[in-house]
Amino acid sequence: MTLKVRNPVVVAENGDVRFVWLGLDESEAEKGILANQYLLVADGEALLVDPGGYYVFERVYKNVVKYVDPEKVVGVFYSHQDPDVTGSLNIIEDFFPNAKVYVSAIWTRFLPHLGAVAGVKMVELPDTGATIRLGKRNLEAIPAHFLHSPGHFNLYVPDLKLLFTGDIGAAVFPEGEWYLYVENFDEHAKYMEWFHKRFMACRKALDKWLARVEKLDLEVIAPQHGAIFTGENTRRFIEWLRSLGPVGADILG
Amino acid sequence: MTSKTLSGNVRDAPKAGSGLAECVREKILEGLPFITGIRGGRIQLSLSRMLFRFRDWYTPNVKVEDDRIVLELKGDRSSIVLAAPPDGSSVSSQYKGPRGWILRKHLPTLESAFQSLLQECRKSMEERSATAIDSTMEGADYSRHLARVSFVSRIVLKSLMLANDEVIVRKGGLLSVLEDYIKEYGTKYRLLYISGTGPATFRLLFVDGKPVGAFVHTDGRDYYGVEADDKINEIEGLVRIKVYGSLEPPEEVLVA
Repeated sequence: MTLKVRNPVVVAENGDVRFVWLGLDESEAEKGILANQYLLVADGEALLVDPGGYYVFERVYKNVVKYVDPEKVVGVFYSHQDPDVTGSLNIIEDFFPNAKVYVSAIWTRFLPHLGAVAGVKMVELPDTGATIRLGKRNLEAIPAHFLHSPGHFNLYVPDLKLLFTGDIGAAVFPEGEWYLYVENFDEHAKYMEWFHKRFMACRKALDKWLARVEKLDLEVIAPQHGAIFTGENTRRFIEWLRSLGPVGADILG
Repeated sequence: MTSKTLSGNVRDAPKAGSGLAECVREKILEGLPFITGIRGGRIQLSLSRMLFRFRDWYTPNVKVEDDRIVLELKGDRSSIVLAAPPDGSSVSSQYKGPRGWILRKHLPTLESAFQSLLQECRKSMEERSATAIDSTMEGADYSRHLARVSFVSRIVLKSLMLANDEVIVRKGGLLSVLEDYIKEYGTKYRLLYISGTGPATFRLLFVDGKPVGAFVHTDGRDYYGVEADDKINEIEGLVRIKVYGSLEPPEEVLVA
């Protein structure tokens, strides 16, 4: 069974700031690891967040233009370099001509292998993080290196108390099942465990990230794969990661 | 949702509207807003008003009743019914359940989505042959297809980027620039896709060196075919031009 949801959902909203989930596609090859694409709109400008590959691009584009003109998309935030994040880079410029691409500095020399991207305006995010301006707002690119990508960033939106966590929080749904919001955390944790044990590089990286994220005022955690945590479940997710034990290379012994 | 679960719901529909009902059933996931979950043939809708949110899991059921297409959503705690004649006019809706003050705010959106779904299904059933890509390619004009993201994505996905240049063009000079690209690459690649961004956005398609589609977007308007050609002649200034050559024969890339 193929899961396709065409209509967007506003995940969080505060005045002129909105965070929008852009729908769902599933190819059989994804094996339950469905990718989320998002749009952040602030004061009439917009930032695409992990817009994904070619085959989801039409749906992403159609949903973006429900909220802003393509010319108002001033940025694309890539949490990391994987193809389910960056695959549509070649046509980004054609459809969002004013978009700068924000990505870890360690990936800018690799991305051109997706095709020539001379026309794309790359903004390299330094390892320590950066502030991204959107409309009248400051967003925070928070380092999440080695979780799993060695050049991985989260995006914090203070106005929404929302953290986009890239691969952190990913879940693998059973066949034929999907939901956008986590309701039963204990059940959902079962779908997250394998991914975090297998993909996160090591416990040290996770602890370093937790130390920083625990200081944030959080109401929403939105991952690139899996489901969104709201309210009390944001705290439970942080606690779950804290208690997850060894991951990645730690398991090798 | 599984087609197995839902197809049973439309099997008994009267013949006249059954095709439409079947189409609506197939497109529920694409057409309905507020979907936030799918599980075993059921869908979850999530609706909010101010700080309050209402979620429920529904079993969709599409049927034809008294010459109206009816979409019933039977939920654990609530039910929603949308009904309209096959042409999608005069949609009616009904909600039963708790938190009606949240749900009723969104009923017009659901009605509008259902109306669009019906109209889209009617259009696709009536105009399938007209909207399909010409399967023979002979005399085909792909200008309008070039406005579609999916069409462009498909070409780019199967192509190699041959050039990505910034060029300063004077008014009326862009065509000669494009001719140079066609001369350089047109013999090696049977299908060339050329896109440009700058003072205007344009997309052009060539098969065996001959133009088979032209699209220009400028000043908030779309132009196709001959009109697009005229607009291309008016472009001047700094233009980024990308040239893609298809790695597969045009017949395989362009035919639906």
